[in-house]
Order: sequence, then structure tokens, then C-alpha cells
Amino acid sequence: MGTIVLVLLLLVLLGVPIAYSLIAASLFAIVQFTALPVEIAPQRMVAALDSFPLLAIPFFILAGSLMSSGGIARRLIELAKSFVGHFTGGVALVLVVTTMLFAAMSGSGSATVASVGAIMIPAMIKSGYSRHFAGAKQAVAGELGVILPPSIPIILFGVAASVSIGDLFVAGVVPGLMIGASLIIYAYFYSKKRKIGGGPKATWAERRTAFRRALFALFMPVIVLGGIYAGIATPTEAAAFAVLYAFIVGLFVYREIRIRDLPKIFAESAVITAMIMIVIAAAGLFGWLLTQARIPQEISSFITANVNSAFVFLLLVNLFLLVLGMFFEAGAAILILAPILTPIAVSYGIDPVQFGIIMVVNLAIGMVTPPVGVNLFIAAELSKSKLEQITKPLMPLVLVMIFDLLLITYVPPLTLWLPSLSG
Amino acid sequence: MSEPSTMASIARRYIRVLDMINRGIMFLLFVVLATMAVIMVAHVCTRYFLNHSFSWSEEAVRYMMLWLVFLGAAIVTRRAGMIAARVVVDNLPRRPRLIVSALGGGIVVVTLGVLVVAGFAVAISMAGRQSAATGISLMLPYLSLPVGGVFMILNHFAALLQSYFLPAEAETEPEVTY
Repeated sequence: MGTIVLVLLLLVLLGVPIAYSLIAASLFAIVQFTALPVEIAPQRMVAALDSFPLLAIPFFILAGSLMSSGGIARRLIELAKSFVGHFTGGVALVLVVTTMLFAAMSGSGSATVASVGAIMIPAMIKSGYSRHFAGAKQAVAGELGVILPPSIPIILFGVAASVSIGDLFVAGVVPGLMIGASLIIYAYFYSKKRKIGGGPKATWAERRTAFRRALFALFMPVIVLGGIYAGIATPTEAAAFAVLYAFIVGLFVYREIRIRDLPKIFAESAVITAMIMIVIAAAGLFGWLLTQARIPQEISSFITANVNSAFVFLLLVNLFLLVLGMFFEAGAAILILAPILTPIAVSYGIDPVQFGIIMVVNLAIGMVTPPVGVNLFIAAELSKSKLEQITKPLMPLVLVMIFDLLLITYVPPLTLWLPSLSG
Repeated sequence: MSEPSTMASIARRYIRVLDMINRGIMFLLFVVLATMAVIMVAHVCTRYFLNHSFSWSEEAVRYMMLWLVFLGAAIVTRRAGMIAARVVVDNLPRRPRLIVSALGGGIVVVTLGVLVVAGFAVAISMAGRQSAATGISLMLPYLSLPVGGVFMILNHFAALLQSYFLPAEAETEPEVTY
């Protein structure tokens, strides 16, 4: 039955899309190794998607695209610029701060890179950074899209490992802020060394104006997170509310969305939803088959017999996920591995909420590491760099991320303190 | 040697018809997602402000999401936008690359074919059962996968035809307008 994993890897390497690879490998296993009818395949795929918490995904995607169609990115950039634009490396700092703000409204890393990067990468190049560094910086900052709530991979982890998505969202806040801070510090020293200064300092009046113009956008994460944090709304309900809010703000307050744009915005959000969730359906089938073959139990007993401390377990998990993340899609990896690894982590005394954030940060790093990384591809396209060129300035940034990852892994309060406050 | 141009014109016609169908699907996606959003917002509002919630809304929205995903996947297939790891394949020399792509394309068609046939069988077997909250036939949610699968296969062929016979026109796919 371990062959099923080999078949999967082979298909992925052949360039067969991840969803089809998962389904094909599963069908192969059903016919070859089990007495199950093939009808089990469509049944499990439908069952994997037929879940209320997963509904948060299309709604957060829709809210995100309503927000970005409404010129939100530009307002956030103006706001960040008025506050940090005048420091050394001002534009690079603005890029990170804007990405953090945007990440608090978007659940996807690639959407964050695309929306903020479209404006900030050209701005970075114009103020004297190399196009490769600009692309690398935006790709890495884009990881915050999935670490700061809302986050699609975090929703997937919550569903797959049966952990409270609300708690996970709240747990992602401090690690997200910390990663943002570390990227700001890196940008500062990088710019100082290359003598890239900042822009003119904004007056407080200008700051107030920028703040007022961005206020309605900034209020969205407050509503969403506040609702979840206070226990008023489930993530799915909060996501639906985010749609309503983004709709009203875009259409009536900022008036940057026209009624006739709506069909396109909705349909395109549906297509993005399908792109992500067809992989979820396929991964649900594949994961179910692994469980039927008792593979999780085998992995679990192998690990507990050979690894005798939480410290070593976490180190191995991090290494494994980092390597896996280089080649595999984050959503599928979480759905297949979270149900296997989380119970093992708990048996080592690790909190499942912390473990979820560790997994998500690991796979977020996978989104920027070559050869396969969605953020990297988009940033390379936006900065007109080749993958080989962008890799060099990327490496130190990835090291910064790995340093943050180790802190998140070995300092539990970073993830657990904030959720513990809400009781 | 009129064969390539004949193939190209057949491919063009096939793609033109399919893209009309796809525009219909896009419109459906818009309607379904908009309906989902309206029901969900109403669900939240009535629960908090009127302390009353419809029992059917949660189930209805879940079933709509199934249709959203499997129909949407057809559009993703048309745009060759399925998430894939193409590094190895794209760096092969031309000949092996074409062979590997054809092999991969064949695997996709067989996989989808099995899924569609099995999916229809499951849907038919569910015809007599009713859902818990809305009381509709369970065939309705289960049909989403095979029906979407049919459109995925049709669009898979369109993407293949496009890349083999009309590579120059790959970028000119018309924007969906209403």
C-alpha cells in the first residue's frame, strides 16, 4: 500500500496536476489493493467538501477580491507610506507593512503577492533596489497572507486535524507580527548597507488623511477577528460577514466597484475557489485511503519508537515539511499530513494549536522556495526576473524565515499566549 | 499537407462552441456564489438579531459549494490552471516533453472518465434518499461531481487542442464579459 505514495510522487513529477495525481493514485490503490468499489472515490471526494467550516474558504476569497477590486491595496500603501516611508529603506518597509495589513484581509499568500506586489515591486525598483531583490522581498512577505488570519491553510488544518479554527486564527497573530518585524529589520539593514534612503517625511495632517482614507479597509480585520475572538461568530459566519462588509465598502463607501463588475468578480472568485478546493476533494480521498490502510498508525508507532523527545520530533517535522513544501502544494500537504502528524505531536505534549501554526509556517516557506513556489512564480513575473536570478536575494530572506520558524517551534507562548487570553 | 490547418480549424470550432458553454458556466458560478453569500448573511443576521435560524440554510449552502467547486474546476481546466509541479517536465528537451505531456494528459482523461462513470452511478443510487434538512433528493449534491467532470473532460480536450494546434492563440482567450 506504500506504493500509493510512490505512484503519487511519480505522477506529480510527470507534471500531472496535483488534484488529478491524488485521484489517479487513489483509484490505482482502490483497484489494486482493496476490495472496495471505485464508487467510493466520488463518494469520498464529495464527503471531503461537504463541510460547513470549509465554506469559509469561498467567502474569504470573495471578500478578498471585493476588497482588492475596491482599490484597497493603494489606500493601505498610502497609509504605510505616510508612517514609515521616510525611514532608511522606506519603500521596502512600506512593502512589508502594507503586506501585513493586506494579509489581515486576505486568506491567500499568492493573492497578497499579486495585489500588493503589482504596485510595490515597481516602486521598489524605481527607488533603487534590484528587481530580483524586490521580487524576492515581496514573495517572502506574501507568506504573511497565510500566517496572519484569515488564512486558507489554517482553515484546512483546523478541518483536517479537528482543531478550533478560531483558536488557530488568533494563534497566528503574534507569529505573523513577529515575522513582519523580522522582515522589516532585515530590509532596514539591507537598505542601510546599500545607502537607499527614504522618501519625504509626511506631516501628521497627511497621516490623518491617509488613515481616514484607509479606515474602512482597516476595520474589516477588526470585525472578522473581533467576531471570532469574542466568540460571537464562527469563522464561516465571519467570512460571510466580511463579504457583506467588503461589498458595502467597495460599492457604496469607496465606490470603486461598479455593479456591472460584480458578475466577473464573483465568477473569478468561484474559479479560484474551485482551483483550491478540487485539490481538497482529491486530498480527502487520498487521506481516507491512507487511513483505511492503517498507514497513519504505522507512521505513528514508527516515530514514537524511534524518536524519544519532543525537541527532536519537532526538528524532524520541520525538516520534513520544509523539503516537502519545496515540491508540494500546501493545501494538499496539510490535508493529508495534519491528521497523521497532529496526534503524534499531541502525544509528545505539543499543543495542537501551536503545531498547526508550525505546519502552516513551514508550508508557507514552501511557497517561496524553488523549484515549486506559488508566491515565487507570481513575484518573479511581476518583477520580470528569472527563477535563477530571484533565488540569490531570496536565500537570506528564507534564512530569516527559518529563524522565525525555529522561534515559533520552540517558544510555545508565541502561539499560545494570545488564544489563552480569550479563555 | 492540408491536415494541420484542417485540424486547426476543427480545433478552433470546437473551442468556440465550448467557450460559449463556458460563459454559461461562468454566469452560473456568479449566480451560485452570490446566492450562497446572500443565504449565509441572512443566516447570520436572523440568528443574531431575531434569534431564529433556518434549518435548511447551512445544508443548502454546502450543496451549492459542491456545484461551485466541480463546475469551477472545468473553467480552471480550460485555462490549464490546475495546480501542478511542472519544473521537471518543462525542462525536458522537446521530444520527451511532448511524450510525457501526452502521457500525463492521457492519465487525466482516464482518471476523469472513471470518476464520471462512478460518480453517475453513486448519484443514481442516491436518488431515493432525502437530505436531512432540506428534504431534497441526495442525487442533487452528488450529481455535481460527474456533471462537473464531463465539463472538465471537454475543457481538458480544449486545452490540449489549443496547445497543440493553436499555440499562438493561447493568449487571446476572450475575457468573460456580460
